[in-house]
Amino acid sequence: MTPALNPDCRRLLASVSAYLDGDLDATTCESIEVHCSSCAACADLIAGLRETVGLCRQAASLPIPEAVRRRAQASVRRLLDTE
Amino acid sequence: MEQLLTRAQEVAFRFSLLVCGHPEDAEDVMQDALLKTYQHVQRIDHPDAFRTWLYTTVRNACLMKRRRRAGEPSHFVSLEHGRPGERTTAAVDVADHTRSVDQRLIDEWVDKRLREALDKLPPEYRMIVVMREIEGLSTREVAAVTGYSEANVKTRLHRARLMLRRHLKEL
Repeated sequence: MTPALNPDCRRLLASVSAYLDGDLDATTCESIEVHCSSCAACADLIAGLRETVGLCRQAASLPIPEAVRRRAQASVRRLLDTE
Repeated sequence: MEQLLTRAQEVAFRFSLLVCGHPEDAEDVMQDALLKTYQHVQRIDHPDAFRTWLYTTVRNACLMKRRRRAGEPSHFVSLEHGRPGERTTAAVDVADHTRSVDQRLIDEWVDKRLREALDKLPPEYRMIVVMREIEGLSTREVAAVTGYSEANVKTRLHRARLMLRRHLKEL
């Protein structure tokens, strides 16, 4: 059974996405950082979420496969040629 | 124009594979996006509105494709069925049927762990995380595409990130 979170951890869990997205004010951010300096579980949660978001954003920068792009361009040319 | 139409197909490709998870549908969804964008292009007057329109169109194409899956060939889409007054042309089949999007291409494209973790998310969460984190849409744009409120999009994104992290740890 998962142990119950203490109130500070619960508050952090609820606001961690807003924290990562820069949606929180400076005071709240500071309180999260202070809490993480003494709570390994919450520090690990934030590190894990940063890694998760980073992995998604790496995928964002990948161009689609060249073969697919070439076929897409060929489809566009065929369509425009019908005009 | 050529660039815009190619971009529409790229969006359709990524959405088909990452959100719908059906590579066999990608070719048809790409063609649908191409033809619908071609019909819609004259009415584009704001880039942000176009993005929302495009993702909504691609999302609907993926859903329709799944519903039609029972054997109906849908490669052939007529441009004659546009709205009254729209520019129309003869029916055309612009898909290249000689090749389809195969698993090899996908494997070479996106990190396998990420794809597997995304696959484990409930579809409505997967759609939000892909549109926000990978496609780079704003919360407002995702809300417009999905019909959820912005607060709901944020809540779902938060839950989706937590689930995705858990699945990535398990892989």
